[in-house]
Parts: sequence; structure tokens; C-alpha cells
Amino acid sequence: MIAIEHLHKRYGDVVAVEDVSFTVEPNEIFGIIGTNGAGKTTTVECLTGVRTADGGRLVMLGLDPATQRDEIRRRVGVQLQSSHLPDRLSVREALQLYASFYEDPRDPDELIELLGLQHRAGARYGKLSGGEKQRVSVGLALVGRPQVAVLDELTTGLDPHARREVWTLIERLKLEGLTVILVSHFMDEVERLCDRVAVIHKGRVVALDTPSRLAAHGRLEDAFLELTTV
Amino acid sequence: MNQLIACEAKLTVREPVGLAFSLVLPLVIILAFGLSASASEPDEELGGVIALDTLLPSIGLALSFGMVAIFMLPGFMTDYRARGILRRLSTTPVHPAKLLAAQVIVQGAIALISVPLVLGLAVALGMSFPEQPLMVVVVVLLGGAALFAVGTLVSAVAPDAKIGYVYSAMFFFPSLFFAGVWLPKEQMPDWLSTIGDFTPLGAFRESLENAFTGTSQDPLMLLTLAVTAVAAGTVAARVFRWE
Ligand SMILES: Nc1ncnc2c1ncn2[C@@H]1O[C@H](COP(=O)(O)OP(=O)(O)O)[C@@H](O)[C@H]1O
Ligand SMILES: [Mg+2]
Repeated sequence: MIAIEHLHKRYGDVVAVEDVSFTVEPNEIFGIIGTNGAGKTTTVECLTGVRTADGGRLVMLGLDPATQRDEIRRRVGVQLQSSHLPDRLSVREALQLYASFYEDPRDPDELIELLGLQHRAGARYGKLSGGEKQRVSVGLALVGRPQVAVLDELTTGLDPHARREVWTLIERLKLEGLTVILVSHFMDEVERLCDRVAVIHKGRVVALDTPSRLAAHGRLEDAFLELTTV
Repeated sequence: MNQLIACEAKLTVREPVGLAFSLVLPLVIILAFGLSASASEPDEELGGVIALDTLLPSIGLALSFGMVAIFMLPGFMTDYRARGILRRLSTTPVHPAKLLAAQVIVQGAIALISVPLVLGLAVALGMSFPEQPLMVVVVVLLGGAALFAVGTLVSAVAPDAKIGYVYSAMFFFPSLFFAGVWLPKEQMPDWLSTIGDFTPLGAFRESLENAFTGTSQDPLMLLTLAVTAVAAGTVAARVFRWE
């Protein structure tokens, strides 16, 4: 359903992704984990057609991200690392606006409830807490009823309580049949949410397995540190 | 698209300072200067015309159009770029160019609203009704196109709102001078005044004055506006950074 084979991407002289391959199955929550600068964001940006790959083969929902970007935009919901809304737009207005971009969107008010933001529906984006903003951002990625959601650094910068709220939300969406690609640099996050995890280090996949098998020889965190320390 | 326009309209109304500068400031200026008796009498320093018939309403419109097109539009668009809103939009089926279109429509509407406000107030204070109302409409549309094209160009290249503001100011404040807002053109040396006729804001203001008083238009000034609109618009479309 989603496949990356030998993805390669450079920014000028900087190699962001050396050689990355993996596949994602329907209804899977697939984690991509790695240290800062490992190439995680670049990988998912190539996959969603935001950036053009320099080499390799990419398939997203049977589509080619380089040439069928429009179709991918309709069917894949994206939450970009550090993307924002105008401060003076309210939560409901933002979701209604994004709903208007899609043919068969979710009902914004239902989504607000699913996100647990009923009490903040009329609040302006600029007045929200970090966790609330992040939930809105997830909501924008989901409002178009995507088949796949790509979530980049879902909970970075959130307090522990807000992180758990967002995690619960993702688990509920999996039950609804959503496929998720989750970019993270937190062990506990992928351990709790993901069916399988790819560890990316310096632009390469250095391990790919279920969280429990990755951690077979101790804690996942230790396994991760071992894999990413060169 | 309608939803985008509605959102941009709401966001603009929620930015009261910008709206005040665009709509209220020109009125305050006309009121402040228009109330003095000398504004309604032939003015030697202006070559014998009546300020309230010419200089004041044309400055009022140059100010409101300039504020909206040169400051408000780039202010919003560059902020959207810096916050990643354009980038976010490019992952949806809606291209961020539609957001720019919505902004131009909303800010353009505000500029058009300022026309009856400015002229209404000036007429109430004793301005003679414009001799060539149709020509006023033509100049407003042409000048609006030129100034919005310049604003779009600033929006196209400035990475964030602060730098955008610097670009806008670098264009706008000298333009005000050349348009004769600081020093009436009648008191400028000829060569300076001529340069002013070929700046977008100067040509806009001067052509408005001509339409107010029924003086025949200088085709070169109208051409200046048209060329600015096409040139700045084309360059902006070429170089616009959607990320
Ligand atoms: N737009 C860009 N221009 C130049 N270099 C970039 C750009 N984006 C990312 N990089 C570089 O590519 C590498 C991978 O970045 P990224 O994919 O963002 O990593 P991650 O998301 O894992 O932190 C880093 O070395 C980063 O500095
Ligand atoms: Mg990243």
C-alpha cells in the first residue's frame, strides 16, 4: 500500500536521505524514529510529494508522489512538523475551512468532539495551549477523511498529560481503520503506539521491527542508543 | 474558495490596527485639513486650485490604497509564509495561490470601500463632485491593479512579515514624497515632479486629481500604472515562494 525503495535525497551537497526502504501495511501504525537530522522529515515529505526525491521508487496508495501529487493531496492527511494557523482563527473556523477543501469531509463539530476540544471550539488558535494546538493540527490532517495520516513530531514540545491525550486520539483513529505514519524521536511514544518501527540513522534504515522485538535485548531506548551511536 | 474569502475577511476585521490605518486614517487627514477654511479656497501654493477638490481626496485615496495594497496584503501573506501556513496548505487539495487570491479579494474590497468613504467625506466638507466619475472608476481600478501588483511582489519575495514591512516601507514612503504628500508637487522642481508622475503612487494620485477636476488625462501616467500592474504582477507570479 505504501512502499519506499532506495529513497535518496540531497539538499545541494548535504545528503538528507542516503538509502531508505520500507513498506507500510493497511491500518498499521508505522513509526519512523531517529535522532535530529536523521532524515525522517525528508523521507515523509518525499512520500507525500511535498519534496521530489533524487532517487529510488516511491508508492503512496498505489500512486507516484512525483507525478500524482493532486490525488495524494486528496487522500493523505499531513501534519507537518511546525506548521501553524493564523492566531486569530478559531478552532471551529479552522476545521470548517479545511473541511471545505475536501469532497467528503468529516463533520468539523464531530471532529472537535473526537479531539476533545468541545470547550475550546470558539477559542482562537493563538490562545490555545501547546497540546490543544497539536490536537487541532492532527484534526486538520484528518478532516478530509484521509486513508493515510502522516504525522511528523506529533508530541514534541507537549507536556506528559497532553502527550497522552494525543496518543489516545491516535489509538481511536486506528480503530476506525486509519493507516498512520508516525515520525518521532521518543521511544515511549513508538513503543506505545506503533505496530512496527523503522530506526533511521544518518539517512539509512538501521533497524526495522516491532517495538517489542527491537527491545528484545533490554529496553527499547538502549537498543535505539546502540543503533544510533556511531 | 468562498470559505477562504470568508476566513480572510474575518481575520482582516480582527486586525483592527491595520483596518484603522487603511480606512480611518485617510478620513482623519481629510477632516483635519478639510475643516480649515483655506482648504476650500483657491490655494496659491497649489497653483490656484482648491485643496479640498484635488489634493486632499486624492491623497486620501492614495493613502488608503497604499496601506491596503502595500502593507496589509504583504503583511498577511508574509506572515502566512513565515508560519508555514502556505506550506501546510500545499499538502491539501487547495493550492496556496487560492489563499493569495482570497487575500487580494478581501483587501481589494477594503480599498474599494474607502472610495465612497473618502469622497463622501470630502464632498460633505465642500468638495465639488468629481467632474468625470467614470474616469475616477477607471483610475481607481488601474491604480488599484498597479499597487496590488506591487504588494503581491513584496508578498512573493519577503520571507517574513518584518522583512516584508521593510520592503513595503522602502517603496511606500519615498512614493508618498514623489506623490506630493509631504511637499505639494507644485512646489517641487520640475524634474522632481516629473519623476513623481512616473511612480505608481504619484501617477495614481495625479490621475485621480485630473479625473476630479475634469482635466484631460496624461496617457503616460495611465501607462505607468498599466505597466506597473503587468510588470510587477508577472514578476511576482514568476518568483512567488509558496513555502
Ligand atoms: N530544506 C533544507 N535545506 C537544506 N538542508 C536540509 C533541509 N531540510 C533538511 N535538511 C538537512 O537534511 C538532513 C535531514 O533533515 P530532516 O529530514 O529534517 O531530519 P529529521 O526530520 O530526521 O530531523 C539534516 O542534515 C538537515 O540539516
Ligand atoms: Mg524532522
